[in-house]
Amino acid sequence: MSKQSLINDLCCMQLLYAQATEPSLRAMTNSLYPELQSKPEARKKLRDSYYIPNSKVPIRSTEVTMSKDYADNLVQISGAPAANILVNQTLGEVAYRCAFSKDRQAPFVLAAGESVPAGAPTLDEQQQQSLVLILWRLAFDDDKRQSVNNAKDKNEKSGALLDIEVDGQSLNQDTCDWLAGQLVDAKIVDIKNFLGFYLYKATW
Amino acid sequence: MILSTAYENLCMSIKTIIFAIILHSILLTETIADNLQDQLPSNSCSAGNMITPEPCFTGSVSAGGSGNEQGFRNYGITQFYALNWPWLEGSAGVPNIKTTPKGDQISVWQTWRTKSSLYSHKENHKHPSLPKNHQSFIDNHADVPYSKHIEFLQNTSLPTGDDQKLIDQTDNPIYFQIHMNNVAYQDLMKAKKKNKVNVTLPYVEFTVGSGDIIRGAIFVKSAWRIITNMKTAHAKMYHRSFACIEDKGANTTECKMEVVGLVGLHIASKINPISGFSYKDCNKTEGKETCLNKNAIEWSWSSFEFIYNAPVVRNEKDLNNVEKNAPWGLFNTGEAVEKQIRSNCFDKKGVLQLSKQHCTLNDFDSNKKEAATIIRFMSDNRNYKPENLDAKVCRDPVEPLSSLDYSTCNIITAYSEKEESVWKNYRFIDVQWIDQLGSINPEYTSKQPDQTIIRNTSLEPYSRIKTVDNSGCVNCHRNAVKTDAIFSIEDLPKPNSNNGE
Repeated sequence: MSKQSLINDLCCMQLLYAQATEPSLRAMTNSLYPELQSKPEARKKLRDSYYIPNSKVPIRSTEVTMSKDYADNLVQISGAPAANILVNQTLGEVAYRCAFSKDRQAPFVLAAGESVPAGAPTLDEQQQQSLVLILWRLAFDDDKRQSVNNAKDKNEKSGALLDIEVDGQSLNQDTCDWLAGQLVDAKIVDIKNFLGFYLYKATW
Repeated sequence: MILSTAYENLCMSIKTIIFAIILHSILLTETIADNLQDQLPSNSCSAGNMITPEPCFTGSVSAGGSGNEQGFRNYGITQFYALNWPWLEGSAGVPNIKTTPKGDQISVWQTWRTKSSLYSHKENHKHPSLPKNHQSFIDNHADVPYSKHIEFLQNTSLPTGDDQKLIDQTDNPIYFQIHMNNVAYQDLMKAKKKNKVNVTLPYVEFTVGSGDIIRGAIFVKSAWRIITNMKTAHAKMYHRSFACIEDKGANTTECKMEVVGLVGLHIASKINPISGFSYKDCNKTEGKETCLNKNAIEWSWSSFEFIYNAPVVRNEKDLNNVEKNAPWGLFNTGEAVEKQIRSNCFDKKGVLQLSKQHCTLNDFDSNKKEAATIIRFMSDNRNYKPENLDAKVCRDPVEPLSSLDYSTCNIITAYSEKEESVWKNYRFIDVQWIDQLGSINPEYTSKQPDQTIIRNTSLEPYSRIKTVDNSGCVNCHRNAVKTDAIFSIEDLPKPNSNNGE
């Protein structure tokens, strides 16, 4: 996986943050989805006016955005009849890689994006938004990410997740415990499916 | 002679051309009217988005919006815009695409067939006669939208049973009506044709919408209050209509003319064609919550209500802050009632406890005929009380708007800018739908009933305790196992039922 690929994924996390915290942006991008198949100008608008500008991440003295090709893929899956599966799948992969992969490589096994694992906690809208914010923080804050990923056991991981607060929001105990358990047991596909399902609900 | 013949030929040609133009325009009008009947997007009719009202809307939730709240909320709002578009006078169910919403006009859905018109062959559904003075009544209320449309209202019973009624602050009952679109009606008629001998209702599977090409079945349930004698400034806040109201106890075949204001609106539509949940395991896992939703999976319910039906009261502080001078229709701001609420409805920390024995909020007492005291619930996915949202707050909010607040604001701002419309006074409650896992959305995890029950203050006023069947539209309608999630259809309609117009 190239450096550019990681930058694109981090820019995608930035887009998710923007979509989750700016209701007008999310409502506007969502209203374009039904038009994507029939109107090429809607695809261009979604990519150039919304996805790319809202993926801007400051790096040292410059700013980067997701590439056009990367944004084109997001636009394409957003306009697909099976978008609810394809977007789940994509966001699950991106979030896992940015937040929980120790070497920031994308794990080989892909998730199906079709369901959440049995026994996973149910997230209401507030917790869905918290999930986006906490994953965003993990993606960009090396210390926080290492404190979760280097934690020795389930309790320590859960505690590290519970400690993260962004814009006054945090994940509840149930969700932290469940995520920590899956991380300790290396149930990567289950984590990706869970993250993808709720990130799609909270941001798309 | 030659000149005369040439002149006659010229006249004939001109007449032929004029005739052809008239015929063409008639045929064109009919074609447009046919196409517009379903309000599907076309070259002549644009589909709106949540910002801009338009007269048409797509047949289903689709693509990236098909599995999340935002997609269903956007759809619910564009559907609200289109169904409340002014109707083309004389063409039932057709929007007038040459106008835009302003002030107050008769909406498209009001001209759909009513439940009563389907069963007009039955004694309890017969339309009474209009009183002789109806025209003078209409003439005396010239500012009420008319365009030759009158509602016929008689039903005051809530679906919660025991002949429960809702009495407003002027001691009049709230009236309910059910309208259905042409697709729903045609589905019923097809079932009738297949089932010539038996009038018992077979399982009617209503059409599900798809993309820009197929309109699915839609049912609209409306709630109205009598506002004939209300102060003009307050009355003008409502979407109004003329209604002829049947008094079942009166010894007359005539109904009584009144001006009514819309207080609540439910829109049930079959718009979710790719939900994808598999029910193959449901027989093995009896009692699984998602399996209970099987019957309603393709439907969604969106709900809207008048801003001043009732205030949000979650705690004593909210009660202290209720705007006493607001024209609440279903909430009593009298001192005695306030004292009663204060004493009986809160715990020691001042938090609302509706289940307390002597708390009469949202409570129906069949022995009492007095006005109900209803409060609005506020789900935990809102940062603002619906009654506190207006164009100014929506434009420049102090606290951030949640996604649901923002969706509620869409309607307020859309009808506040350019030309104002009464629809700015209606609040989007939310939309319920079923996702690909078979779960009802939106998801709530709070244990407080007033934060987790989606309900309309006028259509489900008596919600107090959360049960498995009352926390939202889907929870209730999934029990209509014989009728494809719609309770209102009792049996097969009489053929050739009138449009209701």
